[in-house]
Amino acid sequence: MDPSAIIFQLILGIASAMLYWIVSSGLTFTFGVTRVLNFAHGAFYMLGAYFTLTIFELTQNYIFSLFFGATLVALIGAACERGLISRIYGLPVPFQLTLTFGLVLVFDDLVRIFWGSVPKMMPPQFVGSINVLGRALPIFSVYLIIAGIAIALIMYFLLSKTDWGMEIRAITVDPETAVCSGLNPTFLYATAFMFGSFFAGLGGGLYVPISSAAPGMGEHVIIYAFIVTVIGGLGSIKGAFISALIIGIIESLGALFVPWMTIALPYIALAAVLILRPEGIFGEK
Amino acid sequence: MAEVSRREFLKYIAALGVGLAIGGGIGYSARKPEVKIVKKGAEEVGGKIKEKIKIGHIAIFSGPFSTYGELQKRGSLLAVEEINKAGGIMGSKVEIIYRDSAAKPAEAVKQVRSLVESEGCDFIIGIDSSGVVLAVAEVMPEVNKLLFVTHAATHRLTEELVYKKGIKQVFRIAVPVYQDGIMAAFIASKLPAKRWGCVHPDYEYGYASWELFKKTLAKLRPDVEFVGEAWAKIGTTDFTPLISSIMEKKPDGIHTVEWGFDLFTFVRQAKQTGLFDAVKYDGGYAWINPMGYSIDAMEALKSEYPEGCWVSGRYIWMYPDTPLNKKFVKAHLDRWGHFPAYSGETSYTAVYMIKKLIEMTKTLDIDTHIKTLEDSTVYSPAGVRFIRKKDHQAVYSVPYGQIKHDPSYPIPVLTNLQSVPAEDYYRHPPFKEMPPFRELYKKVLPKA
Repeated sequence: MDPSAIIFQLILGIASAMLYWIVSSGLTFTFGVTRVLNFAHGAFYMLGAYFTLTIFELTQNYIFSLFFGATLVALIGAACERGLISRIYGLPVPFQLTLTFGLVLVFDDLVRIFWGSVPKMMPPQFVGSINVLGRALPIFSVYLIIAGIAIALIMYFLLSKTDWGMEIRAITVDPETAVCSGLNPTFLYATAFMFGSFFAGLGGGLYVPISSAAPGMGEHVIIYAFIVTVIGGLGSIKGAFISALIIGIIESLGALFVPWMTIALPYIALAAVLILRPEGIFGEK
Repeated sequence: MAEVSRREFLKYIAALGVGLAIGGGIGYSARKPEVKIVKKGAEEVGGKIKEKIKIGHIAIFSGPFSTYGELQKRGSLLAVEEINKAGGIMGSKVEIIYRDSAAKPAEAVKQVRSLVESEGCDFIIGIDSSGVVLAVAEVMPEVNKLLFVTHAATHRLTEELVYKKGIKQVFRIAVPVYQDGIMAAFIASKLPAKRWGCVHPDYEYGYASWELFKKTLAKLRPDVEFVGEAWAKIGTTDFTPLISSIMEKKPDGIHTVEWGFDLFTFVRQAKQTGLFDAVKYDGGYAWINPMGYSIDAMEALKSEYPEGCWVSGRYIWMYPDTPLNKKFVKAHLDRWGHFPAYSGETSYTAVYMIKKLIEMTKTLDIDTHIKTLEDSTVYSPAGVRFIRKKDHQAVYSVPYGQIKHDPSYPIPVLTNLQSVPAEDYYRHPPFKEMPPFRELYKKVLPKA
């Protein structure tokens, strides 16, 4: 096979990987801090898509719609954390799953009531393609790669260079000592949840102009986000980035070489990691 | 199959099959526009039979495919409202109860039991998804109620469970994957494309459609090649790696049974990656998307779906041009503000078939119902359906057409409608051979 075909396929795989990364970044971050497995993360992603679409219809400004939409999702996330999720901290996992899955159903139905059950589309924002290796690379693949890397850099900066990031890391590593040293856990948990929801909303908003918005759209991506976070190590942001890349690339190369088993590859990777390193690539034992 | 009824059926189908605008009318359009079952020796009789006739409708009402439940509900609820407004079924009111299958076989089976045992439903209709219908059909003999399948398309339902295993309680109103695979191949055989590739959802429906497509097209056009396959998981967020892997194989024709949310993503991304350009020919695109004329796809994609692509459905609202179909489309538009989806038509027809069945037999006895339905002819918005005795499949033909953006309609319409008599593209019991069964298709289907 022409080696340029493989390189091109690799680039597309990285672009797909960035979508997985953007969605799982918030999920793994929220889990790292609050120890809550948030099933509703996919619902926040869906809300991000719908908010972006509707705000775009009103303003015709995509970048503004994207950030304003994600901010609204972050506020909803904070409200959910304060009103509901904060009440189950420390309770067994089934409580978390039941509550956050309940939220998924509620948000799905709310979306159906406000936007209807037929999927909605907004005008595509990144039209056209550039010539790479004699093939058409869609502009939106380029934009996904840029957005994914930008989000990784922003996360890195916020968590390692700001006071808030340091406090978040402190409460993640050792909650008791952190609280004894005067950190405010209520504030930190709420802002962490808000931060995670913001990235879920951003993921939905970034995705909607290359696809569409539909009730329940988050249910597909949440499964992948879980695979990514488990492979990377629950709570590890670096792990999520690397494992998203792994999944995106094996799927993409799989489509070229073994199309009949593409669907199985992420699960094979997941099984391999669970057998060889159950805590995930960057997870803690 | 009784020879008489087959001939009678062929008489209608032959007229309907091609150029329906001209042929379909005669004899058919003269009738009163209402859904009707015709069966020799059976007559409608009067008198109340039960206080309330209860129908359970199971479809997907939650999750990413909930649109499909909604589209079905529009059809069945419209029928129930019309029937009740006109006095019910022999004076009995009709009640319809909706239940969510959540696209899960076990959940749907639970709902069937609950509808029959707790709610006292007399009939079950609905069911989306191949996996779900195979599970549900298995319990129908046990609950012993009739199931009218209005959406799920796997041919294994009628070929294996009804025909081979003898589950008589199941009837399918909608055309199965014969439309997606076999009829699609008839269209493909008339296009210049010689190198076919596919992008399909990675489950039963995708595999069945592609198998039937390849087998039929290889018979019709020995000169074509099948160059590549891409299998997409349900909920694929990025189709570009799949598209590019297929484009490496240089196809000049694409067969895709993607549907719903995934179809929107796929069409959008195929446009950007140049897949449509790769399959362009003088008269349009060698792009065959069997369920592409689904109402949700048309309402969402609108003009983004390129003109000239070949699409179809299990019913399309502009065909056939009969008073009954026009009446149905108008009623649906008035009631819901949307054109009817294919599953809306099948659900509407299922409810009316129940009405006619009770009126004809004056009983709720299931064996009588089965005998009445077998080898009967149903006049419905989608045209004349012949209910085949051996596999309980409603045999009727649905055309393919090319997408056209007409500013006088809110959604794209279809032009250049192409159709083959249903008898020629449906597989026949005992399901050993693949169509075409005769050379007729060469005459009836002009060069597309």
